Amino acid sequence: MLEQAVKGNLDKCMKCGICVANCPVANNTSKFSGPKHMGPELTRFRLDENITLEEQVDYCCNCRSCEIACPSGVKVSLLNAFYKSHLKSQQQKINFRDNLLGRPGILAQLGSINTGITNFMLKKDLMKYSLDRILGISKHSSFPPYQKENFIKWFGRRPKFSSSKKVVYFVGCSTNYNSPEIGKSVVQVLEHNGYEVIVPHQGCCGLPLIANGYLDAAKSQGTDNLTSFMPYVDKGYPVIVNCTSCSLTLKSEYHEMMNLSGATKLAGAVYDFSEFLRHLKQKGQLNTDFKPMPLKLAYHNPCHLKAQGIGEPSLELLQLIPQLNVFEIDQGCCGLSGSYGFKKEKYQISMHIGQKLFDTVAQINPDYVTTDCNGCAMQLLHGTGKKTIHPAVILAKAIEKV
Amino acid sequence: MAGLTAATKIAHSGKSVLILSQGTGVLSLSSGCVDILGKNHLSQLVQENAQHPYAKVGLELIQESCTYFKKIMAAEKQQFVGEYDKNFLLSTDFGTVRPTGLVPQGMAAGDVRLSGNTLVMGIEQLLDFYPQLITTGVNKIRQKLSIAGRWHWGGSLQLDLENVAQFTPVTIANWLEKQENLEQFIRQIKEIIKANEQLAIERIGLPAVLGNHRHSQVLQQLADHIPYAIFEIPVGQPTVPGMRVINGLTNTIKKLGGKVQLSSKVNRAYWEAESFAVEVDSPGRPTVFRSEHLILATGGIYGQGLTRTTERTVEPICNLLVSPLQEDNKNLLASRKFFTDKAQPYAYQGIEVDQNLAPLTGDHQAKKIKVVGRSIAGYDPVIEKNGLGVALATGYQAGKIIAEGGELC
Repeated sequence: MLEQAVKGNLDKCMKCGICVANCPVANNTSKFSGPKHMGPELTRFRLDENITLEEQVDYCCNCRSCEIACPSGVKVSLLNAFYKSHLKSQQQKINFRDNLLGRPGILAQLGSINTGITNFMLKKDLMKYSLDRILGISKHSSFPPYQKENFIKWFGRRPKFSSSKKVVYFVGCSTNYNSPEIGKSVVQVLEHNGYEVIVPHQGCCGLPLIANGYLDAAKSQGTDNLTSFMPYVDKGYPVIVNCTSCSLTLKSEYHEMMNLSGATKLAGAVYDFSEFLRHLKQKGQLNTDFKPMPLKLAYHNPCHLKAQGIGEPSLELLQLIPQLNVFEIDQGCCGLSGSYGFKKEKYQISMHIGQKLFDTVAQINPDYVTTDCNGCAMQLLHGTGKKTIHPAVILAKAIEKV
Repeated sequence: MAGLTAATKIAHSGKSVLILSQGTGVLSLSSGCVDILGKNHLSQLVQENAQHPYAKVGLELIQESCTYFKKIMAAEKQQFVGEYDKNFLLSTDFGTVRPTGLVPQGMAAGDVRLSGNTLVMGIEQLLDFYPQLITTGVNKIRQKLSIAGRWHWGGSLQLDLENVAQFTPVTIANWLEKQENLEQFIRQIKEIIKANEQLAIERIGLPAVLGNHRHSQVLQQLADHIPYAIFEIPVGQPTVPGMRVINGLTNTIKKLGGKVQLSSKVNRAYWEAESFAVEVDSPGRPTVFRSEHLILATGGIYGQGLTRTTERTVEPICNLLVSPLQEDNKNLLASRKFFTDKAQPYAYQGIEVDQNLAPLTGDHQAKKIKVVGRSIAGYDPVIEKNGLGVALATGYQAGKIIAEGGELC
């Protein structure tokens, strides 16, 4: 506990309450006392091993808004994640729902046995009602469809593009199974800029496991990913990630939270996809021969991108495309936070949190919404009905020959 | 305040500006007012103390910065009143008084020197607001100043806050922005007024929860339905008025194309290849942002803009020289008494600057740095009660210099 408290910069907390004022959950439900209380305040009590179990920590959605706003650099989400894991380890009953939602890769593998049937069933009211009653997955949730051919299968059967310039690609569960077009676009843009893309064997980044309190299982996941990726990192290849939640996990949680061997070196090699392209642009190496795209887009900056302190590289790149009009939505958290918003008891909170975002999209009335996080994309589609496209897909379209 | 004001001024000129900050800063912990004059006689201070930040920028610029601030906030539907050379005397939520210069319109009627009876109301669920403490303290001061009339505790509003998460000033302010809730609020205020009609009151004091993003609309509705002047008293942390100021400045910067990037603690900044390289402590590896000019608005010792080693105080980002302790306090960093009415020796430490707010010591690239706010040497904002005034004036000066593309003197 003491090690966790130190990692979380516990003593830097001056109890100013700025985290609480910025917490989307604490401002939308009375069931969560807020990051200051659940994080630094209770951690002080938890240093004494007689810990009272505060189940409301489960309402922390791990959006990191508290950390983003904290003027003192307290890692509140980290403290909450450690505690959630402790809480889960003390529970006698197995939580089937959280175990399932914490393993989207396994869920996707099962669902992909027959994507037609899976997708059909997930739309049915009876199925949604059953999931709601039996597992506690909200019947109001919309499930993204699984694609017949996932990205990794597609990548495996296509002709190889070779180059002396190489990157390794961490695909992420959602891109792989639900939105392979994002992965295809990432590959297309990188190859267009002369990079050979390598896709090592990989699993889920582990963030859903962390968010649901299964830190040990997340460590195991992380260790497997490190085993796959480190040989490439040791050769100096950048690791490209297109989902900002996955990239934050690889950059931050693997070493800060899980202390995995090699994690610090991996973190130094990880780039968000747009961050990497911006890096190329700064070196004068990005092909910016984009064709005009006369569209109106609304851009949502995900919480886990804000937490990375790298700015808004996607927005900077999209602004290079001629005739593309991009409006920044700038209305905070979408509310989904990965598996959080799918849970029955959290669904309404999630939708309240995202309401300002949805209303602003309606005001902007764009042709499409765009965002770097696959989770945010699901929530934006669910809350606005507007098609949401990843910036990689737009950039890929912009480089296609007329 | 200093950084946000500088960035607003630069953004207004059409130049690109990026704020890099670890978090939202501590402006939201302020009262939402700008303390300018404090205990000082400004023109005397500027003439007699050349080291003071106010002396560096001059009286004219202090006045200009106040006018600018009022204009910016008015555009964000937050009217501020007051002048740079006069004080309001407002109550704190402890019943003490604080001198302040620029005040949101929603607080102006709370000057403790205004004669007549005032009714102060609390909110049952807002545990940190003690109307009786406020009225007791203010009445003692009014008695000393021989002001006619008293402040009375009128009672507490009992609002239907069942669906409100956390009873904090911010959540209550957000709650109040819904029409049906505001109507309930007004009804209850009227009931308390009626119950106290024998007092012949002239104004009403409330905790500062009168709307967050729709403050002006809430004030208007209160004015339409309550026939007395109403004022807010800031309470809690962060305060709602403090958050309104941050939001007003931040919204202005963003509307003008500027960027405010949080979760971006700066490790260091250095001159390289004809520009400043500013290194942010991003997870994994630092991210470097480049700029032609640099404004250092990182605060003092509390804000970590200045840090202490065992031997000295340092400025960790640009490695600028920090002024030594004053001669008479060479061996004493802080007063032996924690609560003292004397200035703290460490408070005067900071970066010594010229009239253009550039560091006095350093190479020629240092001249492209502007140091603003608490990072500047030569004053103690706690004793002088002018912290945000110095921040506003120096932030404005720095922004103006960069916006106009040249040194002012």
